[in-house]
Amino acid sequence: MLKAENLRCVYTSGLIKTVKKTAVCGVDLEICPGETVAIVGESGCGKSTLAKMLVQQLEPTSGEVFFDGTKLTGMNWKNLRKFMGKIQLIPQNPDDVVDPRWTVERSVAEPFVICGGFSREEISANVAALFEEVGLSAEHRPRYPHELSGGELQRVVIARALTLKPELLVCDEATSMLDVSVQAFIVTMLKEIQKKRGLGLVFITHDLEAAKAVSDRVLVMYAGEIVEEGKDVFDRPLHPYTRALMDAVQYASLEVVLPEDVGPLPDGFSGCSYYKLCRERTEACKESQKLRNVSERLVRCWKAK
Amino acid sequence: MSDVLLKVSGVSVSIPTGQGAVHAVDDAAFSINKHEVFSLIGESGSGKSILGQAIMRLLPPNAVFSGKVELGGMEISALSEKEMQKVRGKTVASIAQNPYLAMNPGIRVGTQIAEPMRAHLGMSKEEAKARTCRALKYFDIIPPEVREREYPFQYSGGMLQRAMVAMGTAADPELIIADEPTKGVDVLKKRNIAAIFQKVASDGCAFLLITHDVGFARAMSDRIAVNYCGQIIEIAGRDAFFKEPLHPYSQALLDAVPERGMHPIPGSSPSMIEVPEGCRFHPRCPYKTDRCLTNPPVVKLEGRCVRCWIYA
Ligand SMILES: Nc1ncnc2c1ncn2[C@@H]1O[C@H](COP(=O)(O)OP(=O)(O)OP(=O)(O)O)[C@@H](O)[C@H]1O
Ligand SMILES: Nc1ncnc2c1ncn2[C@@H]1O[C@H](COP(=O)(O)OP(=O)(O)OP(=O)(O)O)[C@@H](O)[C@H]1O
Ligand code: SF4
Ligand code: SF4
Ligand SMILES: [Mg+2]
Ligand SMILES: [Mg+2]
Repeated sequence: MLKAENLRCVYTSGLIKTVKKTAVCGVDLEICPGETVAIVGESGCGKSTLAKMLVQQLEPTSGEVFFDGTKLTGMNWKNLRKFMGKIQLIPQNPDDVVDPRWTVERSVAEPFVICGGFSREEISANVAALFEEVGLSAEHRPRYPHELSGGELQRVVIARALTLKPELLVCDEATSMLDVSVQAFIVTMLKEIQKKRGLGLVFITHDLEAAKAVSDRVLVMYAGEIVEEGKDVFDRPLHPYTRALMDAVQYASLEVVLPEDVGPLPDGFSGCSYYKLCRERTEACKESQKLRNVSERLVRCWKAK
Repeated sequence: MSDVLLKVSGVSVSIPTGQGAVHAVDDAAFSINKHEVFSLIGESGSGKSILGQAIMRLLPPNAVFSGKVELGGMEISALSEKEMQKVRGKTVASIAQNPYLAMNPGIRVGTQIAEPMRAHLGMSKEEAKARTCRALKYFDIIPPEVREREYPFQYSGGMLQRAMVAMGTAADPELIIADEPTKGVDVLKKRNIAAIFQKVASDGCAFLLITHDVGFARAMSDRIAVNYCGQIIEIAGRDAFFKEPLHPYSQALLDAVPERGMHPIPGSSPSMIEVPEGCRFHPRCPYKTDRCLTNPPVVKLEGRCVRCWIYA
């Protein structure tokens, strides 16, 4: 359904002295209808940037995104609009999509208004149903964003993303401010929609247990790259970074055991991106690492077997 | 006891809206000792952040507050706004739930982190900057000299969250109110936050930790309080709580974690305007009987308390 090829994103900042920062480098990704993919990885490794590129909110520096075979990247705004209802992003920061000067029910109604062809009554009935679907009630509808709790606002944004019945939903930490019961409620609701109409789901999350519970396939990212991808990744992690993540969940010891510091890497170091922190590194890791097929898995580490 | 740092008694907050008053906090009472990490978990929208804001005196302007908050023997709920400003940041620091709102988008992150050190610890610009860089480095926001000069929008969500933690722990406060400090932070960096909290706590600081992250609460806390529909319905020592949660809501909440299959609690969250009569959990409680339609007492058992008729 959605296919991304070799996506890269480089941020440039600064006016006089421009600084370039590669946030995502060369990600390939495919999502099928009815599939749930979880993306996990270090904070700052480029997950939100990738999500924004998938939904065309951010133009990739290079690379392409296809939806049902149609190329979206580079398409003009007018044509792109037809697809926008089908692919929705629930952003990490709710303030990105709700206008602080609007009541939340108006924010949720906005996509209906933009899309056109709905009567006033239809819109308000639909909005009411959507609020109910995410566990909010009539008392929350006429409020402004700052009058809701963090988790309530997050659910408003989920409701808004569901308005136009998307075929693909990208959830960027969409449940990070919900208690475990409400989180389970939302996930169950999304899974039901998925069963009903083959919704494709991408969950970006730091909660490894949740990722494991909901997903068919897991992508592990590190420093802008996919370092491991496949099924049951957490039961049998092959990449040293994935293993480090799994170990950290235990909280057994608060000390993070780091390997000996290798000092700054030479400019243009093209070896493994995890080299500096990897406890299993050897000389051979200074070679650049490709994603390899290892027992039904893709792993970016020569050692994995 | 002499080492009680924060004492909250009979605190209630209601906020008027077009549909009626939201009863966000009802009769909250607890105290936190020095060195203690006290976690508040519970339902989304049940009033946890508002309770934190009430202690900090940062409530929305139209909110109606009643009750008493004492910090180190001083009644801070009776201070003037000017006196309270001195307490805020120096004695009590807060790590707000929404870093995008708490941070000023037009000011460099480093300057914002250094501000409390300069204002409350009287550090020079250079000293504060050096300490800021150390803090950023500690939280893996590297290279600190570059990151310090960046603006909030250049940070990823989790980085900004960690910068908030750095800011909250910067000026050696006595009490830190941390609202969802670990959201958006990966498990490895969460351990950094856990470690710095424990270090700060061992230096004598107390924590009110508001979180949905049950694993984090379990790893960090000395005591756990559970909030439901504006009320604290259970307070217990960490080990006792996780071994055997007493309140039916606490039990149901712990059953909803992903490890146990993500089963949501049946029924829907109650209205915060027209709160259920009697026990506020009764519409969803599998054990309810007729007496549950009248207010349950707060039952004190050894070292813990619970608001439920079963234990009366
Ligand atoms: N608008 C921007 N300008 C400059 N740099 C940016 C911008 N947005 C993000 N970055 C940088 O790009 C990198 C990746 O950021 P991104 O938000 O994609 O991370 P993430 O994986 O979503 O992290 P998190 O889990 O913390 O949300 C970070 O180093 C961040 O500082
Ligand atoms: N300014 C306001 N005006 C009216 N109602 C408000 C206002 N701020 C919060 N509320 C309501 O007060 C209740 C408690 O909100 P609070 O932010 O304390 O919840 P919370 O327990 O922190 O939830 P979450 O876990 O989702 O952050 C909610 O029902 C919310 O809708
Ligand atoms: S290639 Fe080497 S450095 Fe990289 S993850 Fe594998 S073992 Fe570690
Ligand atoms: S008081 Fe009654 S309804 Fe409330 S939690 Fe206890 S048993 Fe359930
Ligand atoms: Mg992000
Ligand atoms: Mg809150």
